[in-house]
Amino acid sequence: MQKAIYTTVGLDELLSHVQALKGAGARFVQMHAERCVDDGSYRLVYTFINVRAAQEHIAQDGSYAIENLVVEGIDRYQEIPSISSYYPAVFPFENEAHDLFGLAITDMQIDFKGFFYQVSTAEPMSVITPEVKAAREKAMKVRAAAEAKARKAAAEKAAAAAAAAGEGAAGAGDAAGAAVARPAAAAGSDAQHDEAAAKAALKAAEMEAKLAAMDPEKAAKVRAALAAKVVRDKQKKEA
Amino acid sequence: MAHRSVIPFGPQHPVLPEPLHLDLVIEDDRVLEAIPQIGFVHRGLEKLTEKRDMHQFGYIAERICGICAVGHSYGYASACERMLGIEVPGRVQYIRTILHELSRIHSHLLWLGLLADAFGFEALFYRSWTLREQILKIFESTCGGRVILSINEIGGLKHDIEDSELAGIVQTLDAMRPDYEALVHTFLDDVSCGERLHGVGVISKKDALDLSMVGPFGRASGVDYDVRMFSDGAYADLAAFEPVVATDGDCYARCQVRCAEVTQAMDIIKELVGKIPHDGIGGRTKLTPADGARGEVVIEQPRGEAYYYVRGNGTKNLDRFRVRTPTSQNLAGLTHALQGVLLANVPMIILTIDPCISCTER
Repeated sequence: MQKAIYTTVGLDELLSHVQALKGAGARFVQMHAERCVDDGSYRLVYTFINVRAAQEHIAQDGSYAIENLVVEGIDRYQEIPSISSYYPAVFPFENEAHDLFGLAITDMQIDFKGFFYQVSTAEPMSVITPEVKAAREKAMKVRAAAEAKARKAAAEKAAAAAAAAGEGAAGAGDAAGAAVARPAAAAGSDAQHDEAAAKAALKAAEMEAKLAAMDPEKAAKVRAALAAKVVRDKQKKEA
Repeated sequence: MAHRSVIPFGPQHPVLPEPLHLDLVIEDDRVLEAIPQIGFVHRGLEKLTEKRDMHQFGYIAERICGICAVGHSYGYASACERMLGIEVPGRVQYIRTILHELSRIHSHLLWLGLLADAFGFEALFYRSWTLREQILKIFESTCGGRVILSINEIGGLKHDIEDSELAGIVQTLDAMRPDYEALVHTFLDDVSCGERLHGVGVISKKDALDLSMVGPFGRASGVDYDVRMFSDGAYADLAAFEPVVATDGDCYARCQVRCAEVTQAMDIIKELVGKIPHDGIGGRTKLTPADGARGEVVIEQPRGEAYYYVRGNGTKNLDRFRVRTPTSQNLAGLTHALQGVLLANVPMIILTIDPCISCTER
């Protein structure tokens, strides 16, 4: 059974960690870069497997680990030390991170100086497209709406439990019951209103996310149709 | 005084089925240094996860390469399943492994044919590819495609392979064995083959380890590393598994390792067909990955260890897909193997590394 261990390290500690892994006999597997959509920073993941340790673990409990060093929060122009002096096989991946992500990796043993790949767009993997942003926002909105719904359901359940407990006590006097009845009805109406509002917000968020993922021309047409429908509904209500 | 010059080798060259460029710094007819360059057909498939959802991307992952196609879809599906926390039924693991091993046989037979072609032994080339054709026919009869099988999906298989069909695969492989053994005998014992392969492009075990070489290329230099020995999936049920290793580190050793791996793959298939469970074939999952969920897997492709990594972002599209193919890992070894060799041996050495530029140019 394979496991993965991710260790977050600082950029200044990277070489010492790599040196330690090399000293322990770990094999270099790969290195890749990632662009974080939320803050625009970069992340580097270095992967290693210590074959001997893996075999020992497999003999003990049937599992082995892929070890990853993760460097988070890298700025575009921050200098990143090359690990090619420890693992020469990293040179295609470091050149790739430079050409496709625009990362500044220093002291590479084989440095193509930006000509490893023939790309038509500079640093293509660093581009965050509007579609990706929209999909990300949609997921966040849907998640927020689901969480709000869950919170509301929990609150309603708690309120119902409290009301059931209150009913027993309410038998003590009609006058007191009548006094309680009005605010309780008002609270029920508020809860219904909140539920309808949450449903409408969720529906709107889903629609907005769908529109963001659509072709812009088609999205504009759908938006216009929706606006016309709202006007029609309003007119019907007034009539 | 020796004259030093630079010869551009590739990207178009008779020995190269795909575009790879090498700047060969030579002194007389001896290579002093070789600097590889790729990127002529880079397809940006890793970026394509933005446009295609994780299920659609399975078809693209399979098209990374026309030879290791099954392995790529297997690796991609396994990485996604790990990310989503899905455990697939045993039958799925077995069928994936059987197809993957068949793909290893067809890849190695293709390579043997190309090797024979490179040193001008055309009859041997025909024999190798005739045998390979039988594997492609198995693919066609069981999955409908000769190269792109499209059987793997995230969570299981698209369709089952019946027990009778699996028994048919074993029969075909058994029938192939005598012809295959005769083929191997020619490759390993024929004088003309040996003369082109012995002592050419030697890499020591120490260098192979330092350069993190993978696959038959590394194992020919004595690196006893094969991902299958980690006993993942159906490999865990094998009675025994030992990587095929040679020690000479030359072109002959690389040929020797691949020849033995074909027989090993036949044995693995036979054993797995005999043990295959009947617990269903799963099916496409409806799960969406959580934001920041990661899945990674290493598998042994015909050319060596391949690494697959996926990262979810809470949507149906992946935040990042990464595949590190064996050839990209072996580029450092390739440059090392070419240092100090005769110019006439360069094509043979490049070929014995079995570079797959399609994989590298994903």
